[in-house]
Amino acid sequence: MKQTILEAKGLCKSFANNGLQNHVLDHVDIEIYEGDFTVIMGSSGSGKSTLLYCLSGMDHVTSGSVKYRGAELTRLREKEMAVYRQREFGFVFQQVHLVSNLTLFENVVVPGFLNKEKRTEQIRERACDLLAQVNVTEAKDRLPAQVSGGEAQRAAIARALIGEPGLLFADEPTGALNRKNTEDVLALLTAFHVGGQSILMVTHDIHVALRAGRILYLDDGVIRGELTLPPFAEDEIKSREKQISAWLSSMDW
Amino acid sequence: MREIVSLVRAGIRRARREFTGIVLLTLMLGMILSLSLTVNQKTEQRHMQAFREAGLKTITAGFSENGLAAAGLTTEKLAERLAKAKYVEAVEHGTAMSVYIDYGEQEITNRVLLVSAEQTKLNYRVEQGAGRQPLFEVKIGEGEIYVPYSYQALWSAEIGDSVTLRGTDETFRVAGFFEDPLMGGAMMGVKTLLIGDADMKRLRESEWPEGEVEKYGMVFVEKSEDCPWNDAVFERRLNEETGFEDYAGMTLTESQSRNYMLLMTKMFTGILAVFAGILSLVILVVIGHSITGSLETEYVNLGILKALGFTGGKLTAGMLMQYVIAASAGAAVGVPLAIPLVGLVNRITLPMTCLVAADDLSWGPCLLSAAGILLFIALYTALKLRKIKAVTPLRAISEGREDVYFASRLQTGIYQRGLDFWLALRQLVSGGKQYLGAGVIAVLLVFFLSVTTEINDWIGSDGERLQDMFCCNSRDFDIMYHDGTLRPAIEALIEERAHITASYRSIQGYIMLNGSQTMACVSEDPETYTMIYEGRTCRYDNEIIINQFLAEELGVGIGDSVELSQEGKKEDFLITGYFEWGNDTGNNFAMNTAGCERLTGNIPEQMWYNYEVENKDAVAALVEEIQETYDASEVEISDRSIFDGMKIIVDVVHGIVGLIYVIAAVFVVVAVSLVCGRMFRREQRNYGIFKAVGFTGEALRRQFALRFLCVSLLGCVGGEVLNVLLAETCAGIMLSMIGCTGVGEQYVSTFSVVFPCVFLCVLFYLVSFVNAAKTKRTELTVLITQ
Repeated sequence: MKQTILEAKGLCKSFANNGLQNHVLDHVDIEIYEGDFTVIMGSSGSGKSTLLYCLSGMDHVTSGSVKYRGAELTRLREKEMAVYRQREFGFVFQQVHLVSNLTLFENVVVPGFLNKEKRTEQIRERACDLLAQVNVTEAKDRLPAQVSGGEAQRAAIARALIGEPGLLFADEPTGALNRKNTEDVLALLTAFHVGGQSILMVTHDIHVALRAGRILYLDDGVIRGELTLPPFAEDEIKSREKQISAWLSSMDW
Repeated sequence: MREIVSLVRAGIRRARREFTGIVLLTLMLGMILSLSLTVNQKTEQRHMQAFREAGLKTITAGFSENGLAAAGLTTEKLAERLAKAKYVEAVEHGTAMSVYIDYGEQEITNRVLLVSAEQTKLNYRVEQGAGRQPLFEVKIGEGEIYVPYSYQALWSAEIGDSVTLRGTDETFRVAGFFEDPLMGGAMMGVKTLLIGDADMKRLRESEWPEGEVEKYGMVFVEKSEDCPWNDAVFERRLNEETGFEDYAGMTLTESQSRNYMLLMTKMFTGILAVFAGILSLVILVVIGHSITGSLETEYVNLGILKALGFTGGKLTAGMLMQYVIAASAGAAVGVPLAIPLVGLVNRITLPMTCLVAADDLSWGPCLLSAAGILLFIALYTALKLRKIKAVTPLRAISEGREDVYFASRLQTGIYQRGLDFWLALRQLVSGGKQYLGAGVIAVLLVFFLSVTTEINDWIGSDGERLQDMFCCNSRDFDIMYHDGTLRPAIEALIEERAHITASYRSIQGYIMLNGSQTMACVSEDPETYTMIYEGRTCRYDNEIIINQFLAEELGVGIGDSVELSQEGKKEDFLITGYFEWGNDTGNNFAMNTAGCERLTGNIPEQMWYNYEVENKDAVAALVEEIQETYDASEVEISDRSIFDGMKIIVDVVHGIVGLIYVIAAVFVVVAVSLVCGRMFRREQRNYGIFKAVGFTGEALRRQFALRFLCVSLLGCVGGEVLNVLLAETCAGIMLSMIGCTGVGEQYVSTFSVVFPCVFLCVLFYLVSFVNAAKTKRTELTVLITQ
C-alpha cells in the first residue's frame, strides 16, 4: 500500500479579470504517493502549472484543502510555509530562476543555510555532492549568466534538493532547454527518483512524461484520467510512448 | 512633434512615482533657493532704502560737545571743516544725547543715543498702528520713547516698558518700535532711541554731571559721486585731512553699517544657498539614477520604437522632455511657495535685523536661478541620455546585452551565520553601480549636515561658545567700581563665597588703528588673553594682538607693524598674535596697559576689575547679591551668562540647523524611495526565487534595508572624510562672517561627526525598510508570469 505524501480535496482556483471570474481549477481531488514520479499532463491553459503552484503552496488556493503528510498547508502563515519550502519541498521552474549575482554553488548552498539545524560544513559538502551529481562541478563558481542553460537548470535541480525535500516539484523543467540538455535533466530526475525521491512534475511533452510511473491528465481544471506505468527502462521508451499516446488520445488530447 | 508628445505622455504615465519624486525635490529646491535669494536681496535693498529715507549719509559721527568745546570747536565748525574736505558732497549736522540707560530692571552696558526728529534731523520709520510712519510726521509725546525692533530680542521689549536714564530721574515709557538701519541690528552694541522734541529740548537745556549723560553733536557726511574711494578709504582720508575722529565718540560708515546690519542675514541665507547647491547635486544624482534605470527597463521598447522608425534624437527628446517637465513643474510650484515663507522669515528675523524687508518675492533672481538650474538639469539629462542614440534596434530589443558577460571583480563570501548581512553585502557589491547614487546622496548630505552641526555644536546649546567669543580674556565676572571705597568690602565678600584665584583690570574702547576707529581691549595682564590661536600675547608696551579678520583686511600679519593713534598721538605697534574676539564683528585688537600708556601717556582711570574664582557655581548668586546690595551708580557688575542679544542668534542658528535637518530628511525620504522603487522592480524576480527556496518576506525586507544601511554607512565615511578635510574651511568661512576666526580643528567634535551619520543611517534604513514592504507582498507567481 503506497503512502500518500500530498493530498488535495475540492481544490479550486479562480482569477478575477475585469469583474469576470475565470475558474482555472474546479474542485480538483488528487493524491500524490511517497516515492512516486508523478506527472500532470494537459494542454496549454488546462491549469496544470496553476495546480502545481497551488499544491506546492507557491500560490494561494481559492478554496479546498491541500495536506502534506497530513498537515494542512492552505492555512499556514508565511513563516510556517517558508519552513516547508526550506525542508520539505524542492522546486524546479521552467525558466532558469537562479539568483543572478550568486554563483551556482552559492545558489545551491544559500537555501541550505536557512536550515539552522544543519552545520555549515554539512551543507557545503551536500552542495558539492549535488553539484557533482548534476555534473556542474567545473562551473560551480560561475555566475548563472556565464553558464549554459542546461548547466544552470541542473544547478537549479541541485538547489531544489539541497534541503533533502520530501517532494520535488518541477514545472516543465525542460521547457526552455535544447534536446541534449533536456535529456540530461530528465536523466537526472530519473536518477534521483530511483534513489527514492518523490517527484511531481508538470509537462505537456510526452517524451518528458514517459519517465513517470503515474500520469494524471488535467483538462479545463479537472482531473480527467490517470495512467499507471511500470518502472521506467531505457529500452522500453518506444512502447511506453505509444501507450501514453494511445491513452492521451482516449482522453481527447 | 505629435509622436514626441505621445512618448512624453506615455513616459510620465509609466513612471508617475518617479516623476512625482522629482517634482517634489525640485519644488523644495526652488522654495529654498527663492527664500534664500529673496531674503538676502530684500533685506539688503531695505537697508539701502531705509538708510536714505532716514537721511543718513556715508559717514555718521557723534561728538561729545564738551570734548569739542575743550578743543575749541563746535559741531557747526567741525561740519564746516568737513564740508571743505576733498570728495565731500554735503555735510549736515544735528544734536543728540549720549546716555546710559536701565531698561526696566536691566542695566544696559552700552551707550545709547537719544535722538529726536527736529534736533537730530533723522527721519526714521516708526511703527504706528498697522503701518510705519516717517518720524517727521509722528508726534512723540512727552515722556514717550521709541526703541528699535531689536529691543524685542535683546530685552523682550513691549509697549509700556520703562526706560530710565542712568544717573538721572528721567524715566520714559516705551510707546512703540522703529526701524533703525544705522545700528539697530541685534549684533550691534550702541543703539539709537527716539524721543519727542520737547523732551530732547529739556534734556539738552539741563545741566548734567560729567560721565553718564552727555550732549552730543551729530555730523552726517555725504561722499561725492565722483569719489574713487570706498567708504573705509574715504573715512581714513577724511580723517587724515580733518582729524575729526580725534573728537568722535562714535563713527560709522554706510558700508560698515551694512556689513553689521546684514551680517546674520547673509550668514543664514548663505548657509541656505549652499544647502540649495547640495540639494541640486542630490537632484542630479536622483535623475541620473532614474535615467539609467529607465534605459534598462525600457530598452526593449526603445528597440521596438527604433525599428518602427523613431530616430535616436526623437527618443532622446521624448525622455528629456519628461524630466524637464517634471523639474519645471516642481520649480514652478516651489518658487511661489517661497512667498509665505519670506514673510514668515522676515517677521521672525525682524528683531534681529531691525529692518522691515519687503515680503514680496525677488522674481527676477529667483526665476533666473530656477531657469539656470533647469538648464543644468536639462544638459545633464541630455548627457545621460546620449546612450539612446548609439543603440541599434536589435541590441535594444535584446535588452542591451553585451556579447560577453563579465563577473563583478568584487565578491564577498556568504556564510550561514549572519546570512542576511552577507546576502545584503553581496547584492550591494555586485550591483555597486546601482547604489552609487544613494551613496553619493549620503556623502553630500552627511558632509553638509556635519558642517552645520559643527557650527551648531560650536555655538553651544545655550550659545555659551558664542558668548565666549565676545570675551577676549578669561574671567568669571567683571565689576566697575564707580565708588572705589567699596572695593575692599566687595572683594572680601567674593573671597568668602567663591575664593578669588586671579584678578586684573581691563577696559574696552575705540582706538585709531591705521587711521580707522577700531575696537580695542586694554588689559593689565596680557596673559589673560586666552583666545590666542596663533603667535603669542602682547607682553611688551609696543605689541598688540589682532583679529585675523581685520589683519587680512589691512593686509598685515604677525610680525608686521601698525600705527595706533589717540588724541593726536601716534605710535607704531608690532603684531604678535591672532586672537578670537567677536566684538565689532572682528574689527578689533588688544593690547596691555603699558602699551596704552605708551600711546596716550596714561592708563585709563575707570577700568573693569575682572575676577576669576575657584567656585564657579557660586558666581550667579554672588552677582545677584552684589547687584541687590549696591546701587548701579556705585558698582556695575556683569557676569558671563549669555546676553539677550545672543539668544535670538542662537535660536535662529538652532532653527536653521533644525530646518536643514528636516529638509534633508524629506530629500532622503524622496530620493531613497525612488532608488528603492527602481531596485525593487529590477530585483522582483530574485525575491520570488528567494521566497521559493524558503526565505520569508521579512528576511528579504531586512536584507533590502541592510543594503541601504551599508550604502549610508559608506556614504557617511565619504562624507566625514570630506568633513575632516573641508570642515575648517567651510565652518571657518561661515563663522568668520560673525567675526570669529581660526579655531581650526575645534570645529570637528565627536557629536558633529556621529550625529549626522546616525541620523542619515537610521533614515536610510527606515525609508528602505518601509519601501521594502513590497518584498513581503511579492507573490511567487511572479516567477510564473515572467
